[in-house]
Amino acid sequence: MANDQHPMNTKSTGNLGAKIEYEKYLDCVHCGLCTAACPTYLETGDENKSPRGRIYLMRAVTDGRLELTSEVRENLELCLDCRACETACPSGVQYGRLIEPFRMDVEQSDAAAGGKPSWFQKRILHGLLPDRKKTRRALIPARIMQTLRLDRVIESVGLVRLLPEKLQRMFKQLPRLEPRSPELPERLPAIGPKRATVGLFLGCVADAMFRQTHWATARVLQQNGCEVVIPRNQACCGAMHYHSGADRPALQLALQNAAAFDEAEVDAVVVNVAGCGAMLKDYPEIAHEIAPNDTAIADPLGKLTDKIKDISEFLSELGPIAPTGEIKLRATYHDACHLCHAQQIREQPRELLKLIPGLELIPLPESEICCGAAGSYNLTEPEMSDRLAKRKYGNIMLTDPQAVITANAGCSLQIQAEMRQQRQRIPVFHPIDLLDMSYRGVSPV
Amino acid sequence: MSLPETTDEILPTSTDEVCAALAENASGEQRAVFPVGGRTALHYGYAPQTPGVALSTHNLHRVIDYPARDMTITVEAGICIDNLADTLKAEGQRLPIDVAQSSRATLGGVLATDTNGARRFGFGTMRDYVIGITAVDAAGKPFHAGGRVVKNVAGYDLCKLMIGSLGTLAVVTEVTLKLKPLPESSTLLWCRFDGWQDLDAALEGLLRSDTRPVAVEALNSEAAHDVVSESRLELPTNGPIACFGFEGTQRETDWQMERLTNELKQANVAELAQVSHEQSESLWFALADFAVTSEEPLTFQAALRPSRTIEFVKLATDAGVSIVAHAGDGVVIGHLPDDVTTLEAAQSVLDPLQQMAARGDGDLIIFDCAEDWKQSIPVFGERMTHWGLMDKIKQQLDPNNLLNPGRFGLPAEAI
Amino acid sequence: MSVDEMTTTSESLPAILDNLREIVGADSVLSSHEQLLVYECDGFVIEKNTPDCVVFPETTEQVVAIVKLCNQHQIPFVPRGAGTSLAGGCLPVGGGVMIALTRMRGIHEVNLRDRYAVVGPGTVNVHLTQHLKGTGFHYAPDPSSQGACTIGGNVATNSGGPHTLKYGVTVNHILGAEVVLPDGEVVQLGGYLAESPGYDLTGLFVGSEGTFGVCTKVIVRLTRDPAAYRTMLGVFETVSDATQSISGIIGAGIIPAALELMDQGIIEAVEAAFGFGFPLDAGAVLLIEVDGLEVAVDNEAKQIVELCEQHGAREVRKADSPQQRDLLWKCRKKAFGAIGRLSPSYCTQDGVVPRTKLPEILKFITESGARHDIRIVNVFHAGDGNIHPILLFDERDSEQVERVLRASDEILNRCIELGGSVTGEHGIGVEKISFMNKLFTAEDLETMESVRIAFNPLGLCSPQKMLPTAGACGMEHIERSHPARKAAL
Repeated sequence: MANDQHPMNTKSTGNLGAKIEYEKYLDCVHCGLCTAACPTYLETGDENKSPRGRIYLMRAVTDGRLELTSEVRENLELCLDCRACETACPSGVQYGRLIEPFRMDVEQSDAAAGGKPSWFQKRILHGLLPDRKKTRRALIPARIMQTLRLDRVIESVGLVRLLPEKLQRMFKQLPRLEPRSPELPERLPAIGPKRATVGLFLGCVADAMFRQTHWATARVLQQNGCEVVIPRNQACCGAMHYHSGADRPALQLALQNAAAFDEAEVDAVVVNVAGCGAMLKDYPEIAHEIAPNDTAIADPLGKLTDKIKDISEFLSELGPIAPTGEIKLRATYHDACHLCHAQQIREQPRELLKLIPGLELIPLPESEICCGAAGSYNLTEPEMSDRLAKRKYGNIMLTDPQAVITANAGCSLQIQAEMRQQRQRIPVFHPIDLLDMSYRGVSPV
Repeated sequence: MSLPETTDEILPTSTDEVCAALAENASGEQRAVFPVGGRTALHYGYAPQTPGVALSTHNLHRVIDYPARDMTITVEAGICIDNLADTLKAEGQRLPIDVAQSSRATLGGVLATDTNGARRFGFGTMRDYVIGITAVDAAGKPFHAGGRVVKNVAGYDLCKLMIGSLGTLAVVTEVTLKLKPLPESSTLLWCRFDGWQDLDAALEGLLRSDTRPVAVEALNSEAAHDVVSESRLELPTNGPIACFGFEGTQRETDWQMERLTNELKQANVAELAQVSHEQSESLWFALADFAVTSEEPLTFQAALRPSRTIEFVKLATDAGVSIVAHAGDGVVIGHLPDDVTTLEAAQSVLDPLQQMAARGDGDLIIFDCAEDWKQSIPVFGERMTHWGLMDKIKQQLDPNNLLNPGRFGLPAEAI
Repeated sequence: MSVDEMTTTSESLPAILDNLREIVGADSVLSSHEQLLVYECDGFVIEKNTPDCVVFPETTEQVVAIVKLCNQHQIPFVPRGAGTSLAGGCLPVGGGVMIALTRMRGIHEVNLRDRYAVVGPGTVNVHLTQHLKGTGFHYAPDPSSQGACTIGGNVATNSGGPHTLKYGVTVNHILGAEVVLPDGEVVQLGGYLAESPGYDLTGLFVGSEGTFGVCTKVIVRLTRDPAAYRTMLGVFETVSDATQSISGIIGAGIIPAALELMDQGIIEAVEAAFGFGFPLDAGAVLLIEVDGLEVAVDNEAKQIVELCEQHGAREVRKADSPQQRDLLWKCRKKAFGAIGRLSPSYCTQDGVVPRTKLPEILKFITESGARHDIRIVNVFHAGDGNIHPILLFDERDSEQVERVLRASDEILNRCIELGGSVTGEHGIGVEKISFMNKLFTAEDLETMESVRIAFNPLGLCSPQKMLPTAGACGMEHIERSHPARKAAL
């Protein structure tokens, strides 16, 4: 009946999903345990918007049982790729390794069919955001506006509405930018007896918007006896490229990072942005999908991935030196999807925070449910993103916090944006920001 | 006795004989059939308005299968509760349901009336123990439900349907029960309070108590006096009484007795008496037998929210009603005082109680009273939405309305 | 009504789609082929059939309106929760309207003093658990699928789980339910209180697998949290030693909170997945948990250790920390997932035998596996005698599939012979419907059918579920169809 409802939107499904190892589909036993872990299913109750449903849809398209109609596409696009389903799955289904290559296929077949990427995809997602310097420059007008408080004028008189919709969202997403902090040097010495040499990964958006957190991370590492190396020739992790279908460029960035950190000869490469960390740890899998059996690609990426550690993971393995500065704060910790689901890191950041004297950590209900940021999701799926932000906000407020803590740039932006929407002045910190303040004996307010 | 006076009795000795008797009746005379066991609860519900024949389970008292290591037993429904208890005791097991007149009451009767008592707080009621049944419908057709294993979801759970159905749907002939181990120790803490408010506060404190009582009872002086004299123990009776039961290893009951004693001392308890394991049986027995009616003009059972129970008990006490409440579950048993001799007097006591029960989503049902009063007092309280469904089930299972007709006062039972 | 009549519903469907959209809003009705595909099966994937539409009500009034509409047009309807049934409980056999209750998931009231909570049927079991955390109370039934399954679904199937040995199954914890009957009438079964006069229709409704109506509200009993736990792992040379220990423990009057057995095959898989440190050469391990008063659990644990040792345990380890306990439970609850490491496909059965017959049935399972040349591993709720043999195979080998089917049937038939049942917690659904005749006599089924008629006289609500009499077509088909079945518990 509905098969021919959208003839214009129906794409040939010839080889869609052909790149996916079919065994990966078979891993799913259709038990449904993933469903309640999925934010979009929680919001809608619709099996089509659940991990089990999406696997079923992708497999049906791959099998040729189903056309990739606009309805099917919408359901697949609504996925946040938060991987909460992977945590819930008893059968070890690698959901990310199904949806990501499948979407890649869809993007590429769109391109092959003559569809051009939108200006937004080309200019903003691919061109601007992944470039550290460009992002920083692009933020200059915002910075000036914020300094002059013009942003509030624009918002209050409704000028924002004159911007294209997606730019409006970006505008709303922007946090109060910290005063510009200087670029990190290439090398920072260990304080006290040296325990390790570590590389620090900067990323693109994070370096532009959260450079203060990079400084904090470097200082915390120094305090813990680490010499910190920051190779200049490192690049963006490539997640945005990869997730929007540009697989080759993503691979190039991966190789660039592998070379940069290989040269630096470090014991570990520390990442403080969960999204980047998850991508860096996925390099070998992605390489295998894009260029199977190419050892010239697989070997260096494997070597890098072995060294990738989230900052909290690294410190807890190293054995953190307890800070002494008191921070009297009632706070709640939100698990970034790319930390808790993609990297299975949950306890380490909490343990670090417990080291801070005076900090009271209130458990956050649904702390592992995505806040709706999910990379560029808040730009591409605004409605669901807003619903999840409101859900997250509601849960946060149940804990009556003075601050929110989360270890991912995207989550931080999303939660801050919702706080502003709700006219709340509750700050959002990275765990390392607070740890750094405690080491330095500085108050967060 | 609420059976028509000229009732014959048949005494089948097996399920087959029950089938044969009922089939013969259904295809022949179609007399009303009144299933009876120990005849301890025949006053419950409306008396049948037609003559008929009593079908006694008196000769259905065998133990069919007792795989003690599986902690299940299959018995015929006419087994009397004390005999069942003795059989189980030999293997260190029990059915933890408190039954009054347990030397006469039968398992089938307990099942049909869903009898329970003080320890329901810790152990639940019959629905938590019946895992299989064999029954015979009014046409003489035997049927089974459940099975002999403790976990089983095959088919509709007709066991639940039979429990509390007052013999109106089928004659239950065999029952398979899930069992519990006999505890090493069983003790009670008997506490007198100066006022109901203090007692209520103590009950609320149980929500945070470190102890896990299996019974939480509240008694007024009238009831306490009866229970204590029946138990032949020396316990205070002058004032609101709370009584807590503990079961388990001796270590567990000792610890809990001491712990709750300390907790209650913080909660304005006026007087405390510990009832030891050796003494406990007589007190449990007396508590269960309180529900038995003898000369009282009317006995009722009210169901309330636990949080509203004491308020209700206080109101009933002021009206002279003798009360034992399973306060943890919000179930209250009351006997109206002897001076209530007229229907009008009974109604003036019951009306405010019924209203209070209804306000807390509860109800008040009549266990026993003069048969002619039942025409004016709703025996099963205010009818609820599911009575229509009950009626349809009755029509399905007993279309000719042969089994205990009129017992619930359902339309399907109209003659 | 016959099945043939019901399958003509697609003709009247377009007419009612607009009505449905009026009732629940256009966003809450799915009707296109590509939206319905995912609703063609639940956790049981052998049988498939798409509904004609899926509708997402949010209120009881909407459910009533939907059900009345279906009655008006004689269209079958089937309620669905999370779709985790392992027996095809949510399969829309006759097509028709699927009523998805996933948006009725509110926790309406929690009353600790009166020990109950009122929840929507779409409430996920674990969400209630999380909601109650810190109150000192919990909702006891915790099926292994609790992370996803709904309370409404638990009510429909009378779900069990690892803690049923001590705490009972779902029906022991349900006080009442608001139900929209198959004709659209709303009834309140049971209530907030421990007692209600008349037939125990709540008890009857629980486990009726959606054939008695659509549950729109559930009142559950809350239980106080135990003060303390002790979790142990008994290591045995043989499965038989382990099962003897189970009888020994329970025979000694100890009712552990949980008593779970994993045999050598499972140990191998779980160890590879989680690295707990299970001895790979052990014949079986028992996961034993006792709970209760702090003052009691150590004693019970000590007794259990002694009993295990008496029955030949090689060693009994104790979980020293909450983390170790969590890991042990994770190994148990996720054991099924780890099977993927042993075999591309597997088929889980759900038989029950009296506890003392465990050695016998396990021996039979081994023999049956050998007879049909199928590898079978075991992980199950040993305290209840509820076995879950897992038959390993490759679904691409049709001859192997045939042998798996034969072995499965043989095992379930043996459970019946030993005085047991063919389902302890998954339900009959469509999967086990052909066993009903073996478990029950024609008279039993007739009586059950007459009760069904009292609730559901037209058979529009969840047709062809539970009873073989509820539409006799296609039974052989269901028994013999492709079992490319892998299932998690």
